[in-house]
Amino acid sequence: MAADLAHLSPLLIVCCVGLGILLLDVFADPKQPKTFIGYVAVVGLLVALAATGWLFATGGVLLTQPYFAVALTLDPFALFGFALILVVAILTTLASVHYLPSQRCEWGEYYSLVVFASLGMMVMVAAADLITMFVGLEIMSVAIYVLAGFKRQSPFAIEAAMKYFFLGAFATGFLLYGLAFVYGATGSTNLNVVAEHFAKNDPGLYGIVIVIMMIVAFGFKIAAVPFHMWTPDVYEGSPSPIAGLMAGGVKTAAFLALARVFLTAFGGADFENLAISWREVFYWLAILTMTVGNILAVVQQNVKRMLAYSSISHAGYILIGIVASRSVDGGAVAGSGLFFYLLAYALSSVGAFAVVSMLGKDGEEDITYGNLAGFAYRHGFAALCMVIFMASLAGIPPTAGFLGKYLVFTDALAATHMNLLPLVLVAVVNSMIGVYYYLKVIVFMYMREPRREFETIRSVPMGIAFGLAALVVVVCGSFPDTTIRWSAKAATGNPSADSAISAASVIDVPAPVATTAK
Amino acid sequence: MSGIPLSWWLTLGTVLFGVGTIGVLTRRNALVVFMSIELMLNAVNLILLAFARQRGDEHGHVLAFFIIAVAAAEAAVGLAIILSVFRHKRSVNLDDVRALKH
Repeated sequence: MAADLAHLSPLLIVCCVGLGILLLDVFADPKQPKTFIGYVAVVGLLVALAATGWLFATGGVLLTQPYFAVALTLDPFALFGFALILVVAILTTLASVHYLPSQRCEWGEYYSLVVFASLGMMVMVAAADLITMFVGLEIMSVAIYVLAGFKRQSPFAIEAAMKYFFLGAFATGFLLYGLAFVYGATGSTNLNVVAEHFAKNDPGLYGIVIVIMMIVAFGFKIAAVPFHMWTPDVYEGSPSPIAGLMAGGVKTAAFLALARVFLTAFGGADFENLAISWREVFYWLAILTMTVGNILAVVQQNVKRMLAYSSISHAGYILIGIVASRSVDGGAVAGSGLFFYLLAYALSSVGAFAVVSMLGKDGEEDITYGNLAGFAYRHGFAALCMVIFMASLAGIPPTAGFLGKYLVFTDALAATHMNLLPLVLVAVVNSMIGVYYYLKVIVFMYMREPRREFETIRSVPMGIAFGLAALVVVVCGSFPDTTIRWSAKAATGNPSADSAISAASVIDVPAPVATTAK
Repeated sequence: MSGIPLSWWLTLGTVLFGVGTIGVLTRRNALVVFMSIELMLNAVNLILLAFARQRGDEHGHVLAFFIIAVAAAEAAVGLAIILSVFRHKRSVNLDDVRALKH
């Protein structure tokens, strides 16, 4: 029991930090700036990151108490996700401490909402049960709905919050409908038990309903075309650091949860042979998502909208990693490229949004390309970091984004279960289109004269945030050995699979149908 | 449950879910859209309880409780968001809320 609590420490620490800083805000002097609450949050998240590193070094742990083991699994897969989410949350918080006063929305609960959103994401990636995943998803979503509209005096922010809320709740409905049929078909919502059941029984009609509903629900969360309509509006209207959290954190968590659900629970051969195979659907969704995202990104005038469409197109590339992954022994995720890509993408986009956060002042944000003109002459360091992020998102060496793409494409070409060559060709063409609009940012920053005086936020923590992100992106791209090893470790699968099944059978002993209440 | 077969419950749940979905997609009043989402969630609860009855175990009931609790949390945040939309626009019509454009 005590060992389990120690192993759950990343989650428990994050939860306590969230509650603690909520209280701190209550007792803090209301006239003083809230900056210090942000720093407390950063320290707390760093402690959780250290705990995650400790667990990752031990190679993942098994939870012994059956009630923990059926709900959560702390395999390297989940721990890799924890680390990525915590880093994104730390960078978001650092980018926010001076952004909030500039936007006149400095309220202390901002930081605890960021921490709670991270907690929800962590629960999502560690979930061994669809109920846990659903609860994690909602902890995250409810916090992000509020954060999207945090600048409540701005009609744009409120509109972003409303669009995000309605589409998020709508997607939740689909997720639950699918979940109800998983329960109806198998009598359980534990991913391993579901996988075992479907290994023995034909999923049939229920299988088709489940697959369609789950794809719609996750499609909204990862913003795959045609479920992407909300993304540009929400990213544009939300506070810039929060847009970074959505692009870097929410999407990472949604992708990891998607990978776990589909590869573990629906990874069996029977699901391949359904009238609608989820792998086929994701194949076409990936093509649509990459192409539509890229083409629409080209025509954007607003940098935040461009980044939103770029994040849509990246969802397409990540989907290639999912399609290329293969479930081994009901649980493993083959294809370490997926993890490397998620790391590169998450850090590049959270960094890019941190740089964009500099461009706000006096409650206003106007982030068109024109406003970037001459940016490099005033903020050499920030511009340099932005160049690194753009290069990484475009997939130019020596950044992590290039290697991520390379690894995902090699995974796809090595896949034996499906011919993914056409998918990779489409992705390569799309990467070339992407270079155009990423370069446009660099051209405006370095080669145009500033049109007018514009004010920017000068903030050391913000600089630390994008500086760190840029450093990691370059180091992972130039000396990738360690990161590739970590990604491979995260991809080695689920050490707790067996114990989770046995633990589940302790509790789950399915009641015979004959006992139906009269 | 006795006498009423599972398929009827599933049909009822699915029809309610469909009504909710169509409501979300076609209605322009934010409150009506929100009600439609709640209808979708409750249709799912109905399906879960029907499955739980058929199987004779309590897992579905637990899930339904989770959904009810989460729906309450979502309602709190959602109504707050709708309220602040109303403060800005003096209207909760979704067609009036479109400041963000390409």
